[in-house]
Amino acid sequence: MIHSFAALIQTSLPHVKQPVIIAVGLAYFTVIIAISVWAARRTRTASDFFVAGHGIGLVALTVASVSTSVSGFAFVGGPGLMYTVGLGAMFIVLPASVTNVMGAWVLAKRMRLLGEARGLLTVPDAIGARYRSPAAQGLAAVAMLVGIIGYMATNALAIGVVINAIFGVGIGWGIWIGMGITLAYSISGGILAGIYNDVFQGMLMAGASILVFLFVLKVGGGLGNISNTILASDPQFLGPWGRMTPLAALSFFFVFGMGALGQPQAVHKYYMLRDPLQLKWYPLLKTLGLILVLLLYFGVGVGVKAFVTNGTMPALSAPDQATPSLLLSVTPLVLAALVFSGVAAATMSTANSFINIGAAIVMHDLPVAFGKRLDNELSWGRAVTLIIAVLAALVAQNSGAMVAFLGIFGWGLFASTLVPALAVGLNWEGATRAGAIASIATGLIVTLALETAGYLKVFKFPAGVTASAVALVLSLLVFFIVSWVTARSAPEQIDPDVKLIMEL
Amino acid sequence: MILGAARGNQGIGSLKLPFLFIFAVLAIGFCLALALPSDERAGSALILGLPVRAAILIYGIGLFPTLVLPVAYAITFHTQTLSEADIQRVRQVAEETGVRPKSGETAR
Repeated sequence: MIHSFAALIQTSLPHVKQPVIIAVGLAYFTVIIAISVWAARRTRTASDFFVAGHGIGLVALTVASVSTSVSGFAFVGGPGLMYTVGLGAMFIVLPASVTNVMGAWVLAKRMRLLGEARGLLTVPDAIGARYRSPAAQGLAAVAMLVGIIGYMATNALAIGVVINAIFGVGIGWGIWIGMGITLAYSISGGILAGIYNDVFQGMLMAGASILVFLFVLKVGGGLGNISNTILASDPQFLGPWGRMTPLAALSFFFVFGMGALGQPQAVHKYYMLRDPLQLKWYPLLKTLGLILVLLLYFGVGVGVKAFVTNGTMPALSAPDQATPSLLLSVTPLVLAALVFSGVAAATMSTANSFINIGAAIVMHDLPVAFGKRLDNELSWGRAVTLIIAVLAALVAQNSGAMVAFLGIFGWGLFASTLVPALAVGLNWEGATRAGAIASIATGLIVTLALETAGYLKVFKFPAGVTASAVALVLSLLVFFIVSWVTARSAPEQIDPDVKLIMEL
Repeated sequence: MILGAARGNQGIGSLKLPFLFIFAVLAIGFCLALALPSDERAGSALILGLPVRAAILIYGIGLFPTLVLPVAYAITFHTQTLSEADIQRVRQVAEETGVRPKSGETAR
């Protein structure tokens, strides 16, 4: 499984320090700062800071959601993975054709209506409201916080790598400069700055992705020519599973399909939509947006394979070099500059979203779990935002290879702890508080145990099955079994407004 | 997905057809990818630039559902998913039970 989750972590890029790339990079950061100043003037309450006052329009929310759902992996690590394992790497992104509409049916309406009824701020808020349980809310918050630390550290490292590649300042300084800019807009404008920066960043990512894809087709003489070049030397690359086993590919499909329902950076955004009726077009727009952004993932993966095969490009020193090498050897420099800014955009938008979610957990969910409320949630939110960003930067700088493990652990943890209690629980009246607490605890413990065993090379599953998939299945089983055993308590654990929302 | 799309006791209504259709497309697509012979080579038949099994995967499983399910979601949205009347009912129940926060307050 070396070619699986570990490849999601961006750890290296070549230096591309050239005047055009530096100029585009500076222009990119200038726009980010301008949007942040604008948003900071409009952030007055905790609701503004954490859920943009429930006032974001459909297009902005969709583009922002695409932007935060796609990290730098889609631009660099993903094409590198595709170059290595062939078409099997597509099983990470193929579920997107179903997951967005599944998320809309399963979560979007119910979470947005919970926001309407109760003014909820966070994902654990929804779990607390569903089961009338501060304990379930608190446990979900703890599990998310553990995952966020890992996710934030990997994103901080990715930002450092990209900034170092563009400006040549060193990865350490890259981490602090990138996190400093992300922190500045997170702390001043909260999620409002994050959303509008995400809109800009998402448009940049989509534009860069389309242009690179078209360029690959042009240089390769069309997709048919590219396929024939690859088939002549390595037919397995274009087989349906690439170089992976069918079981490993389907394990990817399951984890990235079901697991998407538990990714807080996407789920949290359902609260923010101004008019719940605008959800009508949300899945279609988001899926189309994701397809555009992921064109680069597919195009660079197959394009570089063909270009290396026919000698248009030299062989790569490492899979991660697929995108940078293609950009620097085949495409115009301005396009390379746009893509490098796009990679920075992808990592910063994801980091911002997690900083905001982490701050909301610390200043809102954990006090609620202990029956307390903070007086000034906005000020506390800003202070905690600062602490989380600095912690993430320190972890990224000091944890070495451990940082990759933390990112892998984070993704699987969100899936195994949130999918049963939140995604199933909001749609099944038979779910109980005990079932939710037991499944969150199971997801937390099993994910930690299996991922740690895998990291320490003590144990791994055969045929490429992922630890995250096993943890998710176990967490679901525990959720159903404990809910079935404690079924008598189910009806009394649902408030009338929540029951109505679940029935609609 | 069926749980999420179901509305009270009315089930999934007119969404049965797109759900069945997509289930069939995914099941047939995966079965074909497993069952068809792995004889791809230079000069093999291509569908929209890709060998047959890869085309089934990318276009059939990856792109085709994109055109069906989100459109079905949008077409049935007001009858099957959410209407203005639903939102008003939720607001009313939240007011009656006292869970709705006043302006400027956050979740309770």
